[in-house]
Amino acid sequence: MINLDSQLKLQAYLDGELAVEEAAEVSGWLDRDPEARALLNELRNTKAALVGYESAFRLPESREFFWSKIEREIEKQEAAREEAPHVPWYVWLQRHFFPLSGVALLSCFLGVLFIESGRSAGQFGEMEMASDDMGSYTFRDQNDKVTMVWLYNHGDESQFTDPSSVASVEPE
Amino acid sequence: MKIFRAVPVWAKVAFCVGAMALMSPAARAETMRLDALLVWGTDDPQSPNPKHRPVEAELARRLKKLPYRWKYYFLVSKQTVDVADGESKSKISMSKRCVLDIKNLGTNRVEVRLHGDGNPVSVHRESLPMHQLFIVSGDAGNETGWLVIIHRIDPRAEPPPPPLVRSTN
Repeated sequence: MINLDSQLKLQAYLDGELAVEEAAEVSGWLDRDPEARALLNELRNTKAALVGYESAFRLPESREFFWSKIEREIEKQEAAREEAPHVPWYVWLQRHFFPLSGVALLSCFLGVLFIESGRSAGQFGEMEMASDDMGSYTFRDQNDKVTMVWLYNHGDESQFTDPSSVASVEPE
Repeated sequence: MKIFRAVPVWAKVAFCVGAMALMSPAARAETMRLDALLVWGTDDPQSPNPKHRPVEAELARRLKKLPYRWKYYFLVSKQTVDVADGESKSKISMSKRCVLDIKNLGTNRVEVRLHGDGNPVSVHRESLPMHQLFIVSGDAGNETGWLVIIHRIDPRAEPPPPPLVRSTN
C-alpha cells in the first residue's frame, strides 16, 4: 500500500518537478517496488489520456498585466469600503431603537393579555355561604369542563339548613 | 402599494400581532349568553311530574361522569339570559322557591347568587369559559337531588333568548 505522500512524490516525479537527488531516490524505489511501478504507469496513462483533451487557454494580454488588473480591482474595492458614508447617530437610533421599542411594547401588551387570560381561566372559584350552618363540597373536572358544588347541612334547625328549599322539584 | 412597501417589516408584524391580540376573548368585553337549568336527579326512571322531561343526552352524559349517585336527571325549568360585561340579571326564576342573580364579571367570570324561598343561600364567583358547566346542587329529600346548572353558550350558534318569564314549577 503506497501512502499519500509517496503517491504525490510519484506524481511530481512524473511531472518532472523533483530535484535531481529526489528523482534518483524515486527511480531507485521504482526499481525495487513493482506496486510503485504499476502506479506510475497508471498515472502516466491518465496524464496521456488527459493531455489530448486539455485546451490551452491563452491570455489576451501578458501575464503581468493580467495580474496587475486584478490587483488594481482589489485596491479599488478596499478603498470604496473605507469610504462608506458615516451614519448619523439619530439614524442609527431610528434604525435600532424603534424596532426594539416596538417589540418591547408588544411584549408588554401580550404579557398583560396572557396574565389576564390566565387569571380568568386558571383562577379557582370563590364561594360565600349565607349561613355558617351550611357547608359545601366542590368538585372540579378540568378535562370535562365541569365545576360542581354540593351544598349540605351542618344542623337541622337553621332556616338555611334545608337546601331542598332552594328548588321545588317535587310534584305539587 | 408603494406606501405598504415603505412600512418596515417589524411594524407590519407588530400590527398583525396587535390586531390578533385585540381580537382575543381576553381583550374583548363580551356579552355572555347563559343557559340556567334547574334539574332534578333521581333513581326513578319516570318523574311523578308530567311536566318534567329528561335532560339532553349530552348533558346526561356529562352529569353521569360526576360524583352524583342518581341514574336519571329531569329538566324542571330552563332560562336563557344575555348578560353584558359588568352587568347583572336579577331574579331569574327557576322555580317558585329558587331564584338566581347572575353577574358578568368580565374575562369569562360570573357571579351567581342563589336564593331559596326568598332568602340568600350562597354566592359563587366562577370562571365560565365557553362550554363550561357550573353546577350548584343539594339534597332534595327522598334520596333525590336538585341541580342548578349554569352553562355558557355561543350566542352566534343559538337564537336570542325570549324575555324572562316566571317558571310555572
